[in-house]
Amino acid sequence: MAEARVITPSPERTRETRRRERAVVAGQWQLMWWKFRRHRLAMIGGIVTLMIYLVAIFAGFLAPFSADAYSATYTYAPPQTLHLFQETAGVWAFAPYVNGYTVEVDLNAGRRNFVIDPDVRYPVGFFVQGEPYTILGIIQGNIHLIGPANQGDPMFLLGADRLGRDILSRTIFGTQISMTIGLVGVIFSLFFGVLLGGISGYFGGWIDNLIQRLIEFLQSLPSIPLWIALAAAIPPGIAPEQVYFFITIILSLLGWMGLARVVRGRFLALKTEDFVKAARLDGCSPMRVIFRHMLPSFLSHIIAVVTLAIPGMILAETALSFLGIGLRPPSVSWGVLLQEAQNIRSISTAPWLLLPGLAVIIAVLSLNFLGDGLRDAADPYL
Amino acid sequence: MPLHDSLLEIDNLRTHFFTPEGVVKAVDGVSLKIPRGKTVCVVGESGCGKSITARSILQVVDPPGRIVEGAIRFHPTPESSIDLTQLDPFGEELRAVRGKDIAMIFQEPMSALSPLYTIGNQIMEVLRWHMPISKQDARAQAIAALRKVGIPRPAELVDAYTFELSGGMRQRAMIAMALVCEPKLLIADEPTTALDVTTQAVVLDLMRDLQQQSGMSMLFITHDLGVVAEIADEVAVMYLGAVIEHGTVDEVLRDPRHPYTRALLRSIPKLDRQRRARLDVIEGMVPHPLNRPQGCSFHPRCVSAQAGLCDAIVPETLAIEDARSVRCLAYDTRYTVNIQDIPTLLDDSGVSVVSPHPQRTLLNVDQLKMHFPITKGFFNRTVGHVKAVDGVSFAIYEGETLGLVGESGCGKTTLGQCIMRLYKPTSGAVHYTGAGEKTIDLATLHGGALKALWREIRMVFQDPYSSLNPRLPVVEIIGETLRVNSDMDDETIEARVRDLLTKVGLRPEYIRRYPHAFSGGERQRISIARTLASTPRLIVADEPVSALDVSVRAQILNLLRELQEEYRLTYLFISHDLSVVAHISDRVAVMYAGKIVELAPTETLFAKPRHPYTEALLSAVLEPDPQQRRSETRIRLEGEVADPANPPSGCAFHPRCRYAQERCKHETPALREMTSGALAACHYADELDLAGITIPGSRTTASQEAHKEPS
Amino acid sequence: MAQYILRRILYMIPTLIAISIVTFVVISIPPGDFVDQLVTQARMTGEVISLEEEEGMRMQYGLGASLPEQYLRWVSAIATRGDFGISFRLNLPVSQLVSERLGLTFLLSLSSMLFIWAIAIPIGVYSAVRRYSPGDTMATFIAFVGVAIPDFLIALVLLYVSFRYFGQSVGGLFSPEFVEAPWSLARVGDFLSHLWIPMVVLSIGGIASLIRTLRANMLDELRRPYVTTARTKGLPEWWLIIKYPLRHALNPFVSSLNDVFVNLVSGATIVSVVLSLQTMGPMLLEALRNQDAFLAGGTLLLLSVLAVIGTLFSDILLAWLDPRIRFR
Repeated sequence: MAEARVITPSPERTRETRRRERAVVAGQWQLMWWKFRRHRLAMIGGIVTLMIYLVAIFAGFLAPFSADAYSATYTYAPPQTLHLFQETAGVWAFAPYVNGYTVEVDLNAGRRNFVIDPDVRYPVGFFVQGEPYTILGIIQGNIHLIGPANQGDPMFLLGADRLGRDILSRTIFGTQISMTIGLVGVIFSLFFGVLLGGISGYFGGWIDNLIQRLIEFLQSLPSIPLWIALAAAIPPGIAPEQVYFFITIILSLLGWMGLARVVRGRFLALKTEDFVKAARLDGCSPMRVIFRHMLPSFLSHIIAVVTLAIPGMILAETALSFLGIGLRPPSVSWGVLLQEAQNIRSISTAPWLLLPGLAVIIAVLSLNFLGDGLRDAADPYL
Repeated sequence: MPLHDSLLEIDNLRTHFFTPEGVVKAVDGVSLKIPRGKTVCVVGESGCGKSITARSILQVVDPPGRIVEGAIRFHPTPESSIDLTQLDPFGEELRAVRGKDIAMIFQEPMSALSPLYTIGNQIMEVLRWHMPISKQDARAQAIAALRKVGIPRPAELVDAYTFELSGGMRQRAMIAMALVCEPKLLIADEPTTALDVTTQAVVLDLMRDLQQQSGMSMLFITHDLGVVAEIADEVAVMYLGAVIEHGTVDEVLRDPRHPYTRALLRSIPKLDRQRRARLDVIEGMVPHPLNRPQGCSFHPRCVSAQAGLCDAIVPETLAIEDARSVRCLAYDTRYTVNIQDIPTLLDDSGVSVVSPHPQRTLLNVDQLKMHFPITKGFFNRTVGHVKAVDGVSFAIYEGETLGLVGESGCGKTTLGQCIMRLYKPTSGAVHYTGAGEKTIDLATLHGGALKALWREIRMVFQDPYSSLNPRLPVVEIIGETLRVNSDMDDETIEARVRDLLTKVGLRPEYIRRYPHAFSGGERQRISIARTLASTPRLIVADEPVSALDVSVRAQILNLLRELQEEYRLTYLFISHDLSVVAHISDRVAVMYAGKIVELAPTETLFAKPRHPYTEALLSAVLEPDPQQRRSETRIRLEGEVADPANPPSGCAFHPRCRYAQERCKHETPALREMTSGALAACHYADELDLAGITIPGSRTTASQEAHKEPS
Repeated sequence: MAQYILRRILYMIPTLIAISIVTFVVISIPPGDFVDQLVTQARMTGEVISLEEEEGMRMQYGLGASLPEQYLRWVSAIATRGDFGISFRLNLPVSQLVSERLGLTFLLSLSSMLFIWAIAIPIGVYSAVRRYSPGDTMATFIAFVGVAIPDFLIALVLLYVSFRYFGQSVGGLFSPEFVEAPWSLARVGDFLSHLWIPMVVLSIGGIASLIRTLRANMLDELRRPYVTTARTKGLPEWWLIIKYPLRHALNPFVSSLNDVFVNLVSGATIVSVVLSLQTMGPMLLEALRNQDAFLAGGTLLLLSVLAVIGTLFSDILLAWLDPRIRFR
């Protein structure tokens, strides 16, 4: 065709034009990744999130002790500092150690206080043998990333709790439940949300109306008292796995509405897009229209929304467990750990009991950063 | 002290946008003078920087845009001079100028006015921030201003919200707001682009009248050369951030000098042009703003471009004759560049497509109705129906192009989508005679039969940005129908898509690209290629060129015409633009309020309209020829387009019809055949003598006509 | 407008009925009832309660009837007489136990909400208007962190800090001498002096999330054509920002208001437990733990009603702010 004369670009090819040339054959996921990569906080959030999940997987290896190892001698032992180098005969050498404790008895308060004893040094090793553990249910091991060189030496880098258990180890093991409960809860929510939101958006009419009214109603209820009431209804004697299951169900029962609304909104908006009509006219079956043409367009949004929903779940679980009606010991989650810090007495004795809270903050913060970045990157046009 | 004869002087203005991708030089050396009491039109395609120039005057360019150079000297009196670029954008001095001395109106009054406040509130606010005036007085003045722009019942509507008004009324309110302080300069940024043609005509009349009454100057931004011809005293043509030609409206439109202006004027479909002939086109497209050509910015698309000169030297603005200037090396005596005109593509084949011999009916629409329920309240009770399509009957003959025109909300898009069966019609039949000579009723088809039908009937959508799936590469977009409907393997599909891309004038290598890598015109080509993939017979094209730039429109129209010949396609061409419809259609149907009011062969319909609405539509067409200003004879349609949810009784057009009789209020006219063969739905179609426009249609006389140089 | 409010209030009736059902169902989910609990407790102390006695008690507490019957009895008593039943454990009418706590919860939620507004709106607007300025970066970061910290953790830290460094407890809404005292000017003063700590604790999450929402909304709105129009009209920048983008940005803000209020009403539960406030939350928790059905049901119902009323107010506010809703 005559009029389609091609404009030849100027000979010098700048970095800019190369970038643009690369962009023309870049798929949507590629473009989104480029956009996401520019978002520095989101990148950091993503990396931290990834690391936290790795911690959850390799908890047994990373934690110096098992979650339940206790030592009555070291009730409320304060955190030690990890010294990496020590001087022997005037030479500084890499030889990590922690100091031991001496006990002072406070007769007035009637309790024992630990004081760090600089003279006692317990050598600390990397990749040391310790308690056996299982990773992902298959890999057996007893090598720990870090631990006392001599098994049985006290090492409480983040202090110890009421029963002399290592807070660091427990926080690391808490990652497993706290981080997965968010994920599993969101997956349940997503299931309800996509199912009902999809039904609502696809069929429209009175079904849509009914589901919308239901969602409006459920959203007008105060969620936390309902959680509390439902969580309190979990029978006391059941197995920890069942409690876990019930809690995720409760969290997702009250969390699917937001997702359903997003799904429905996107669905309705996309349904009227010309390219979806064009796909129908191309002869695509409804399934093909949905999965090939519509789903990829809002998958990115769904991922972003889901990422932003996980922190809420984590916070909710933490709150429930903290109140003593969520997960209960012997399950270990950040909320269960914080339960130890419920009254002023224990906090004033052992403020380090609040440290698992820091884990909550870091996890929630990085998930939020990640979700925000994903949401921005999911915007379809450059 | 020098006396300034112009009101505003823009001198070498540069407004650049500092984006993460690079610096976009939206305005790059614009100089322009606006004389007192005159209307200067700035015309150009999208992205040429016309709006940014206008916004720079009052320093309301959104970040990351910034004025980096130049002066904008405002002379409220011949003795005084203020350089607006030197004022603090948030300062008192500039604030005193904004809204008081220089006012501005925008394209979309719906978004340019806030829906949260009454229009009275938004008008009074201007007065109260610029002069000491009591609330009562401000209100009285606001009402007076509304009255002046022709808003009915101003004392009542002063308390209305924008969403309670129609598009035309909103734009009037916007004008009233701009003029309430009696500014010396009104900047109008595409003020009529979002309006229907009949409303546009009325608003343009209004603006010209107001300008003449008040003696203010007007800077009018538009992309539409027809609007320019209608309202301008002087014209500045912009291309890629600079004014490339400037002169009086007669000079520029009747004797354009710059190759771009010449080509642009030649490429737009005009009513006096040869129907169905190939349009002369400007090649290529407006380059990406980050990728501006060196030398003369137009040279890559210019047929007169001289290698070694035009691609190296940036032309200066040269004064030719009295008040004219042009920015082209051809007028610079230092260089030898000869102006050549774009090759005329007119050829005989273009005219001979129509087969007037016994026509085979491809599609027969019979009493088609599409009513959408209006639901309300908690339980979605149905409280009424939008009668988007309300009993429409017509036939489409094989190989022809049937144009369907009407203003927004008339039901033309719904009609198209009903035929495509994107909607299931409420009632009526659509008989389609396919390749197998078997006639089927589309209205009742479903499932597999519908799928088979969609291979023969295809659709081109209006918005090239939303009609292509942003997540699929071109090969998947075009090949989808093959993938779904045939068992071709990937290689065959790819080969076929490459073939189709060549057919629509794109490079076959583009098949791996994603839609975001293409411009609007190219996307529309992809969209067309998609329809061709399944070897269609009928293509429903819903406003296929409306979203495109003027210079690209001609390319697509030519493409459609060529493909029609090659594949013996039949088109249902839906558009609001009468010039385009006149150009491409064999017959034209006019819709109003869900009904067809007139249907006739193109020449007949334009020359001798039978329905008063058609007459009004034709009269509202703006041609890029200042000699054809017809403000005196132009029909001003009163009132608003009929509401399809609540159409007037009898003839839906009667409240706006100047010929309406008592009978029209009660009796609905049927679409009946006239002696001329035209169909019209008017009780008095035989008696009325309505004015039309003669357009050349026969193949013999046409060619000389089109060859005629604008002189 | 009046019609809109009326319609909106009428819509509340089915919502309230649904809430009462949900509440009742939730309360009835746990296996066993209060009598079972008594029996278990009695058994632990060595007492034996016969089956007849058990049934007698069930009759006395109205626990013997079928669930729908129990529900109807419960609801009709509330609807007709405002009688929420009695607390099994404390043997006091629920309404009496709840009344003061309800007021305190409402006051606490309301004051927190006003506090959230007072802080979040100016910061959100500033953050959007001066985008990428140091102030914006700081506000954005603080907002991010604020959203991430569970409010009970803030309360715990506050407890620790005040105990450790100031040697006093910050818990409660009254000083010990006023807890049981009748309302007086002095008690009001004491209440107000105690109010601000839970208020601030409760507000931080809300402030953070509202800064984020408002900033995002404002950034959207600042780009809209009507803002440019307002500038070309010659309005002062501060005025036009308040009048146009801010008011537009407040729309989604107000419609998310009910969520905020609901969260405040309910979020107070956990913070109240930590700070031992005399609000509804701790009482609900206590009642649930003891299967004190009427007390738990009454508390839950009233909290829900409070939330529904909050939603009503936010809808009315929205309609007042946005004529498009009024005209629909």
